[in-house]
Amino acid sequence: MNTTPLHAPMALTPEQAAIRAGAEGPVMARCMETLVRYGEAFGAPRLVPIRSAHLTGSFKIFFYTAYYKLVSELVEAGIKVKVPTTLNPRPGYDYRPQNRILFRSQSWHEEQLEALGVTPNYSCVCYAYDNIPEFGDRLGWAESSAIIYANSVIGARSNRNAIMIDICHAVTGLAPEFGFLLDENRKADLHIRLQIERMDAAALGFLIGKIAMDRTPVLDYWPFTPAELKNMGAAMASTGGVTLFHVAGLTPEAPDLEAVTGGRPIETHTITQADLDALKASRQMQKESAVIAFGCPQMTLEEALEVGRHFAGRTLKKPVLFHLVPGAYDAFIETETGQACLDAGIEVLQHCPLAALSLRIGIGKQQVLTPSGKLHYYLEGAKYADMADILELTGAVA
Amino acid sequence: MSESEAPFCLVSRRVSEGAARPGLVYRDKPFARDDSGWRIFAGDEEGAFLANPDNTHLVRLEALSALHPDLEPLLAARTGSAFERDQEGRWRDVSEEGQADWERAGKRARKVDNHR
Repeated sequence: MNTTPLHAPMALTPEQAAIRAGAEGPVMARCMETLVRYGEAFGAPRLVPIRSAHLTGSFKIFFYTAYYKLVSELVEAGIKVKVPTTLNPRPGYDYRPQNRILFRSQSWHEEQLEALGVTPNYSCVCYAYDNIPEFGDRLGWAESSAIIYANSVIGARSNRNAIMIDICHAVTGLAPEFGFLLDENRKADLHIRLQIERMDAAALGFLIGKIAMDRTPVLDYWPFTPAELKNMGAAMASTGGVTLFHVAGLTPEAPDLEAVTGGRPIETHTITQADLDALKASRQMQKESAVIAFGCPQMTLEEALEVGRHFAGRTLKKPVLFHLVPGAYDAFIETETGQACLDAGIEVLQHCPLAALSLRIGIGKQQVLTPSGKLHYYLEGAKYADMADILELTGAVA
Repeated sequence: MSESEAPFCLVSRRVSEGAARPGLVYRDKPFARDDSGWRIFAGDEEGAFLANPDNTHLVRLEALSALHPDLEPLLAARTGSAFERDQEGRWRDVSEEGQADWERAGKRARKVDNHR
């Protein structure tokens, strides 16, 4: 195999070079080597310290063999993460006999990760509870929905890293300096004009991802809420490879269009109300759905309260699932709104809807209706509807 | 090749190496052309054992049912089926155990669709 770097070799500090040479054992040497090769492939000149890591490898359901092996070797070597490190959601519960087999090794995997010192937050919305970065922080995160939020809404800096790379970030506390860690790669190169009367942020993100692909869009000003920014970014990072977006006059690196484009002319694309409405499943398809799933990414407390208040005192016309950040679960069910949701029959859950629904109903079953652009994209067969349609369909509003 | 003719199943080494008899078996969506979808476990495997992919492997269904003849009547069951031994050692159909009403309703609707 030709191992010649595509770019100039990275300049390592003596300490980094020693780890690469095996000073902290063979498994740490492999993690450092992985980061060096990753960085060199993208032309990174050096490794830089990171504020935190976030791992996407929270599932143990017969995939990612090399990752589980690496985690085991790190645990056996007594390695701990060097920076605060959080973890993606659990894949569900052992509802069924066959899930019991899967979840026995899930428990084993969770014990391994916790032995590394990982915070057992089990949430893709780490940035709102257990791993809150600040403007300008450099991060070594995986999980595209978390990365795009941290980059765009907080102004922290992470590349769109993958499983395996994320754990290497966590145990070294370092990331190669390239891509979205650098000022010059954070300007917008696509202008999204909005001709919209009724905002549907998840649908907008879904459409922008397909248009932008791996570019950085800047949207016209709209007074998006944090939950809308979360759901829009997650959809954008699903249908496209978008890692950073700006909203002129709202997000921290976009005081105005001029500043975020650097004054350069950029391509413009207009999204209209008709474009958003076209993403919705037909009324007939909506009626045929078996279950409504909220929370991909998981719902924050504020979001669950905002959606949940519509269900107080209502009788559900369709089964409804809320997927909450585990850190918000207790607080939610202790509220009047949370109790009202439980009384109405809503299942309030704390895991990954994508994995759990795949395990519960199988892939490709057209049973799920969701206002999540991300779940609509990834859960094969899931249909999309906006919040207004869903609230009407479930009986939350007349 | 139809699913029912696919020759292989994924088996725990506790079963294939004779340390235990099958105790929990289910039919998953096949992952390859030759995969019947059957997953055969003793049912008492521990997490660390299951976490090692070397501890489950593909075995021909006919070889396994020759070793454990009481599997034979189960093997025609559809994808999604699951069976567990009860305390007397008899197979019990647990295919719908743990399912919500909406899951069962959805499956019934699909069965009707499939027969149209």
